[in-house]
Amino acid sequence: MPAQGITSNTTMALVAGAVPLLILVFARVVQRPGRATIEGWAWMFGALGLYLFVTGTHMTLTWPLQHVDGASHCCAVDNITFGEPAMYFGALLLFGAFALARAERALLDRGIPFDVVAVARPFLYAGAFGGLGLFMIAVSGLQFGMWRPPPQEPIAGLLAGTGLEPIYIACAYGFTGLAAVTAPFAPEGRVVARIAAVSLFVAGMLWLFVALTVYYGHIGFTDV
Amino acid sequence: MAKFALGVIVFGSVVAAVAWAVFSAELGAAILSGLFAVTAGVLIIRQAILAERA
Repeated sequence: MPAQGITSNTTMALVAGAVPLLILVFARVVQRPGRATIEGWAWMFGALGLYLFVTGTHMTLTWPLQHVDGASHCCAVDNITFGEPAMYFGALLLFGAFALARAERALLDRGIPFDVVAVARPFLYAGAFGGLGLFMIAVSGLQFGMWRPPPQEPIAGLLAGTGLEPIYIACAYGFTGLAAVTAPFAPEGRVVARIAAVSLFVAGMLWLFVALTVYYGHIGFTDV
Repeated sequence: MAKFALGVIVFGSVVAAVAWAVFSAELGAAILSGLFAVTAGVLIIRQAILAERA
């Protein structure tokens, strides 16, 4: 068993990066007049939501990540800061995706126009509460010295002692939270919609980059 | 924009390979990760623009 425990958050971070970026494209696609069915999109989001929900639930309930000696607040606390949001947003994404697929089919069968916003908005409201939690994770992570990589972790270790990684990860949580909080109000406000879109893009890029680096880093870090 | 993304991949791969050989494997891998992320970002923007136009 490696010192840091079962480091299962590698692909979780990749999904956390892919989802905001794909939501951005989806938001454009659904605005297109005469668009085709969104069922494929819904099932794709369902698959990503299932991944986050299952792994996030496992992380939340079993705490597979262990404390690493010599590293401040790493990595047991990541079971909270990574596992719980993954479980929460994964559940919302999974059930939201099912709701979209089911509602589209049911309404179109009856000849009623399908309103994506009306179906998605309750999930967006719930996501906004999760966004507030992400803000608090960003703040508390900075306050209590999280996200300071152990020097022995490849790539992340390059930043050890610089203070850059805590700021980077706090920004990833902060932008994800901003996207989640503004998303329910985006359909009615142009400015809010732009803030939500930019936040989604920045959050997705930040998570995607860190996920790609940890594919390398976690493999190198695992001394089994 | 697709050509731009292709250019980023080619240029970034060369830079990553040089950094890998000259400086360290970690720096090369970090550049490679950044390259993939930037390329994905460019292609996401492209898809979003295409979806709006269609």
